[in-house]
Amino acid sequence: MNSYIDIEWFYLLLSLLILILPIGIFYKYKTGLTKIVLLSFFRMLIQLIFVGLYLKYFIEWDNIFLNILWIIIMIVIGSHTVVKRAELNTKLMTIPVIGGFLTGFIIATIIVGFVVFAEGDYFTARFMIPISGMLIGNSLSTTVVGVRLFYKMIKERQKYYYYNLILGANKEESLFEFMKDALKDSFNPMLANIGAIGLIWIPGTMTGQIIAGSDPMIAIKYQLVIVTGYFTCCTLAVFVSLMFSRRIAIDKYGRINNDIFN
Amino acid sequence: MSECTVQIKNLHHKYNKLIFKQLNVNFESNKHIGLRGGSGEGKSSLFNLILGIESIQSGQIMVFGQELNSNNIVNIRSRIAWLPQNISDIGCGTVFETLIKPFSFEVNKSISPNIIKIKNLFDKLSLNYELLESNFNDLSVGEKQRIGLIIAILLERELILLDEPSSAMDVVSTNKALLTLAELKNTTIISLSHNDTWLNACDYIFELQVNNLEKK
Repeated sequence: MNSYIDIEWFYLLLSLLILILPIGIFYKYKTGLTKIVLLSFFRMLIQLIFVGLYLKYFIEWDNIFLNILWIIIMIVIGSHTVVKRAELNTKLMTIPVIGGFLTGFIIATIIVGFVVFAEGDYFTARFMIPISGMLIGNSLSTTVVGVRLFYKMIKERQKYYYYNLILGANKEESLFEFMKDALKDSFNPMLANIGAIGLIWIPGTMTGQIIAGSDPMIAIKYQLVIVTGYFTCCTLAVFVSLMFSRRIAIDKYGRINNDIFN
Repeated sequence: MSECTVQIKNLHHKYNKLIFKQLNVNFESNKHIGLRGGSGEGKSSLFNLILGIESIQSGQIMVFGQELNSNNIVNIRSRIAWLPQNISDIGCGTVFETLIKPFSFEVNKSISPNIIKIKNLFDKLSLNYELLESNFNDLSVGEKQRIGLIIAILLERELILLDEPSSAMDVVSTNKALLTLAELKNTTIISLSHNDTWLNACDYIFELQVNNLEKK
């Protein structure tokens, strides 16, 4: 089972014509999304062509330093995206979020890389780059939600925060509810998704491997590793990002630094 | 000179506009001090400065004889109770949950109130004991203010800061709240208020006038 079927570029582009249907619906209801749909798909096409090219060369070169450099770039861009989408000040908050992402990523990589791929193949570009991309990419949206919710609560419930602080709560106690709600609300959708894997959807890693000709039993092993990895990466990325960024968001007096908000 | 719980020296403070200019004032210990002033004149800022929520731009504030700094702020706050103006912001679930929340903090665990004490204060402030089961946000503002007062009293602090504590209370509730506060021993109370009934019960009143506090 090692054969795979290539898709002709002509047929691929032809298949994009089906977008006429969603675009027609958006147009009819004057949603203003028509232009965005076209732009998004165009961007996706260009980005994927670039990904295809760089993956092709990265796998060919297979240089560990290049691989690490690429992962660092992914983490920095990912962290910047988290801070921006959480509507926080990128100058102040990107570094702590990088710290969070890096921590989550390193620990998840230890699990995935050292424990599961004990043979030592993990640090080759063929595994390292796509799996790192999966870990970071899958963690991104949940990290955005977690960080955004936490700081949204700090912003909107400042009086509640200060009330508890004045009545004796230490920093941890006064932020406990915000941490709890941010973790709960950001991880609920991911956990619902994980719980539905195999039942109502077959995720990307498995799908890709099966299409490429892998044995489904091998595909599920990879899938399990990936899910465990990105769930761990994401939980640590949210938690550590919040712990690091709190130091900037709240001063020694417990005052909220409103400069962190955009 | 008698002991002062709060001493303010040469305080200069701006927040959008000039609020205090060379403010010098002492708040005597174990007294109930009233502060009166128009809206937006910085009365709440004064509390925020005493509590360390706003930073001091110039001058000095001493609370319990100590100048506020990052090392002693936690200790100083643990000796203060505060009733904020926007009382609706303090709720977390039911009235009971809101009431006991501060006692879940490590520093307050040793003074967790018993149910008899809570019931006694409910009676004194004419609050129906069954309200404990209600959602805090469903209460009227006047009821919320009385719950806030009960929390402040149960915390047994040396200094209580009350920001418009009776703005939504009727005369009967206001008088009952004042009588309950008058029973507190060794407690300094500073009240920001527009309510004459409340202010008349204070030992003395300061009026905020032209960036300064004037004793009446």
